[in-house]
Amino acid sequence: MDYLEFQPSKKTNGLSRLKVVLMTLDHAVFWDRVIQPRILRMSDRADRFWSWTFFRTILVLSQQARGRQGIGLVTMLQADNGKAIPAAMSMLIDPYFDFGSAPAWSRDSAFVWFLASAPAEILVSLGVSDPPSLGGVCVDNALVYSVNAGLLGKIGLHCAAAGGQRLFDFYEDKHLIPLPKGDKLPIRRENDGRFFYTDTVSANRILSDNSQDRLGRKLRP
Amino acid sequence: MEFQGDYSGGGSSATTRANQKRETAYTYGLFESADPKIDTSLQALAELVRTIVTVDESELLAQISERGIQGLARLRLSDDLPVPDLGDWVALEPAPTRRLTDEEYADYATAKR
Repeated sequence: MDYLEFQPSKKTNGLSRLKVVLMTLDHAVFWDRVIQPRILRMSDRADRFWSWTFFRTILVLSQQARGRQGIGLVTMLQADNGKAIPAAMSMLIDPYFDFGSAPAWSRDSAFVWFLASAPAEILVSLGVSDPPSLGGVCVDNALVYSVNAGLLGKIGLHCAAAGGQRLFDFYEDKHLIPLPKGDKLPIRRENDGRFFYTDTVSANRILSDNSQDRLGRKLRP
Repeated sequence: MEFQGDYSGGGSSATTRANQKRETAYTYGLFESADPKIDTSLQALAELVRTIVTVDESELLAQISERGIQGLARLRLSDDLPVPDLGDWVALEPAPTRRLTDEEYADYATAKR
């Protein structure tokens, strides 16, 4: 299955082109050097203290030690001067527990560990004059990865408390399924009511919805 | 490093161990200590990885979101790291639409860093 290739631009009625690539160390260092210092100043962001260089190295190694892959994906946009600019980052774990499979807890899902998109004003300052909204693209990327990895679109995630109600609402709006607070988890952590997942039905619906915009334009090749 | 706990990871194959060694080696030099008393040698970074394995992923997400890597492991990105040039849009290679093997993924990561 193909990753999204277009998203509606925010200011104009046009479509912005995207390319989803595997995250290299250079992407992570670029983000930490150029974009992260500006996110650090935004007190309402769950990712203000994150380091993608740390995620791309130490945390990928920690997953290898557990016999899993830590997969980094980057959504790239084109700056007006033709340069490639990282606009959204995500780190997935493959495979992970399927939160919808209690009590057997099959390990045939992907976990969206970290996910962040650059604020539009930062992208504009880097030469992307009319950036699209990217939060939904990150969720779509995880679903596409899951399909391509043979996990049938199943993903799970924990909505960081630092993101507050706004982040919780974002995932609900994207039609991910919330795991009710107190429901059992296959991990040691207590269920604080901020875990979400998709099953095959919801994943297919979200992917289908994401494949075109409100004007009926195709967003996937 | 601050983490405590027993190493309980998997990853037993020789290839996986070789990949881990190689990746730990290139990780060395990316970070510096936020506290002069903290060891940032290769061995210490490997030890950090081993202890992180014992922490649940969603718990780690919560801790990093609250305290950052400086609060968590007393590390920060090295000041000497230059901003990489990510090249031109037209030259970007799209992510594969199939699952890579562990070896393919490690090769990709080290070849294109």
